[in-house]
Amino acid sequence: MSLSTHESNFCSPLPADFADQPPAGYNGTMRAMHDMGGLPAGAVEREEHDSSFAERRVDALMSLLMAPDRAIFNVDEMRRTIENLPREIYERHDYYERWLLTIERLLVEKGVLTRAEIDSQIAAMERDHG
Amino acid sequence: MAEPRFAVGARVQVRHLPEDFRTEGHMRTPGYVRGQQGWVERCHGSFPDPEQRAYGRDGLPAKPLYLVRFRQTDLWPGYGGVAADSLALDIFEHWLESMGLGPGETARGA
Repeated sequence: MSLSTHESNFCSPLPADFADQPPAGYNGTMRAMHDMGGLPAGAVEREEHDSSFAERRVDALMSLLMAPDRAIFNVDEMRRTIENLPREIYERHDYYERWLLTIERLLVEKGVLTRAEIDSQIAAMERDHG
Repeated sequence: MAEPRFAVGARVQVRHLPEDFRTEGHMRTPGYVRGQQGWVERCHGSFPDPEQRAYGRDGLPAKPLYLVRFRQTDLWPGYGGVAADSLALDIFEHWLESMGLGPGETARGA
């Protein structure tokens, strides 16, 4: 799993509410990008595979941030944030990479961290560990 | 706790309006059942609205959540399976419109 500083730095103001208007160019069949049920797709890959250490860390981080005694954000906010990732980023990253990008966005949205703090920490780690 | 609008067995149609196809926002009802008709199999009780909680609100008052069953042959043109095949989904009440055919269905409160 590898996310460049540039890719993770896409935070933008989130909609404060639903916009109760159809999107421009609405043609009656538009769906959000994650709403894939029934669309043409390839075969489902059924092979099991091990999770990586990085994936397990992301999973643990998500659990800790949503734990009842912290509740920095809830599962619905997490889903909303994943679903609102820019399409090109959503499609380029796998499951846990999307989780990590979502954690970043929500921590900034909630005021826990700033974008600058995340970027400077990533830069420091890249400097120290290549 | 809201009183459920639909009784078990009520015929319902999933909302299918332009504003429901926003590509932003958090919607818990998939595109492939919108506009489709099914029937209420059970009411799970009422729960905070996840579409509101997705924006940091409390999602209250809680809304009734139903298990709604659809015929697969209704959902998929040219469905190749057994005609009796069905699909059940959890759908919140605000996504459902009455088809007016259900036994024992109560009118929506004012």
